[in-house]
Amino acid sequence: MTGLETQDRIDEQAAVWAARNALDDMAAADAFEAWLAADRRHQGAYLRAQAAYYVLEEAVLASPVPTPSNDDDNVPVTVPSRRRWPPAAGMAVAAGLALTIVVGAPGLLDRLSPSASRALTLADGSSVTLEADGKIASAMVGRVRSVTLEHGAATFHVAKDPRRPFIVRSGQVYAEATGTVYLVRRVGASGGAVSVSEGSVRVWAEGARHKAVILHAGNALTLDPAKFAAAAVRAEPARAPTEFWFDNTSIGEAAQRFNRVGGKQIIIADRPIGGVVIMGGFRSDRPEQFARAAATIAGARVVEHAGTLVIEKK
Amino acid sequence: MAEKALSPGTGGKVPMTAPREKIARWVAVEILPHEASVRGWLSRRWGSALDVDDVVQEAYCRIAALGSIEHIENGRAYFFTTARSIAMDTFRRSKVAGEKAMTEIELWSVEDEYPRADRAAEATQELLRIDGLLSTFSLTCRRVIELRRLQGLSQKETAKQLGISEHSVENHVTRGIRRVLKMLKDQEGGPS
Repeated sequence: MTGLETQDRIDEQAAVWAARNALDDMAAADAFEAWLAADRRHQGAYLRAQAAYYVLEEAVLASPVPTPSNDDDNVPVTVPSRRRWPPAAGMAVAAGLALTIVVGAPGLLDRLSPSASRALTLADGSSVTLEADGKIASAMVGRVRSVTLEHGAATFHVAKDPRRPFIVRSGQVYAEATGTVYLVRRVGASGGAVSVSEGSVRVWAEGARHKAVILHAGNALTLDPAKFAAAAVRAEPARAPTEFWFDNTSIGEAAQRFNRVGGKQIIIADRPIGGVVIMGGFRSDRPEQFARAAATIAGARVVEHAGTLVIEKK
Repeated sequence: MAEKALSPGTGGKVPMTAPREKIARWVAVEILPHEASVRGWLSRRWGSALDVDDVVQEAYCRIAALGSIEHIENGRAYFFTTARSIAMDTFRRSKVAGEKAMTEIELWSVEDEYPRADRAAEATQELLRIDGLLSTFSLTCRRVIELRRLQGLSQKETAKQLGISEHSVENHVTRGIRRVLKMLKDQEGGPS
């Protein structure tokens, strides 16, 4: 308990505890509380590490890793297809919105035909390769490096400048990057197709930057706002809900699973209820449905209390 | 009610750490992103007279000791103000070069403001941050987080699915956390 513990050592321990607490339901609470109490600096370090975990979690969940599937790699998948495409955080999917995401090897990406392309260098050092009928207009002054793709398609090798976002506009679709290689193609009057070779690109429809999708190398996205249904875009859950299937799982374990994905927390007031076995499929974003079903099977009832669902004996 | 161990089958972790979790989530959004700015400012302003690491660490300790953060309107302002207050305390207590420390305090003026947030720069920073962060984590770290938060798998189930040990699962996340902290500490936090 002297001041001899280095800051680095404290930070290392704090990160370990933050990871442990984030992952393990049964984390050794006593050991943790003892460590926290041992030195005032531990509390500050832990807060910082715990916050960093949330930053990490948010970044990961905002851009899920594209997962391989049984489909042919070359087939573009149209949403909704939950298996292939968990939407990025906040991305709203309206009825009739035509969105194609291609996931797979860079070989899928459009290649410009070399004989018909022209190369340009922009004022900031970025280079642009235009397809035969490609046409751009650029405005490189000020805080934002702005390029309007007026026609056709172009590949951008964006010069790194962290202070100035590089934004390509295709109709009503915007694709923003800092230091990347990506291709943008006009789609209809207001849409755009974006394919990324290197780095990350943020893509959104005009007026909805807060719902942007972030594409990484190997991803492509076609966004055509003209195909939106006339009805207003509805807010959807940030992530396509998965189904939890329970074969022979105790209510207690099943409830833990729901609690880990962060919806309304389910609390089991009486231990015997937790031991009852439940079977069936439930949407991961519907904890109330699960709680009601569990209560029925266990001969119990559900009471909502302070924002949590409590399953207790009748 | 909140203090009883009611969570399914475990040691009642949920209700007791809820306020701590809330504060940490707030810190993730309102405090951490400004750490580089605060460090830069402290360093430029008082670099030779202060240990910047100590001041920043103390700021987190003070925030950790708060019962709630509801009363804080602007996290960035709070962070800077706290850091400044700690710097002042450090000078007052300073026995070494007492004269110099006193001069620092005397030179202190109301105009000695911290840099205000620049919204456009922040938007860029956010993109950079996520971009930079994602390339920092291991793929396994990302998968671990997804399996837990999207599938609700336990650490044991996650380890099994990924074909690694539970300890390794924890390690990947620990390293991810350390990298986030290093990145947030090192990056240029916008306008000075």
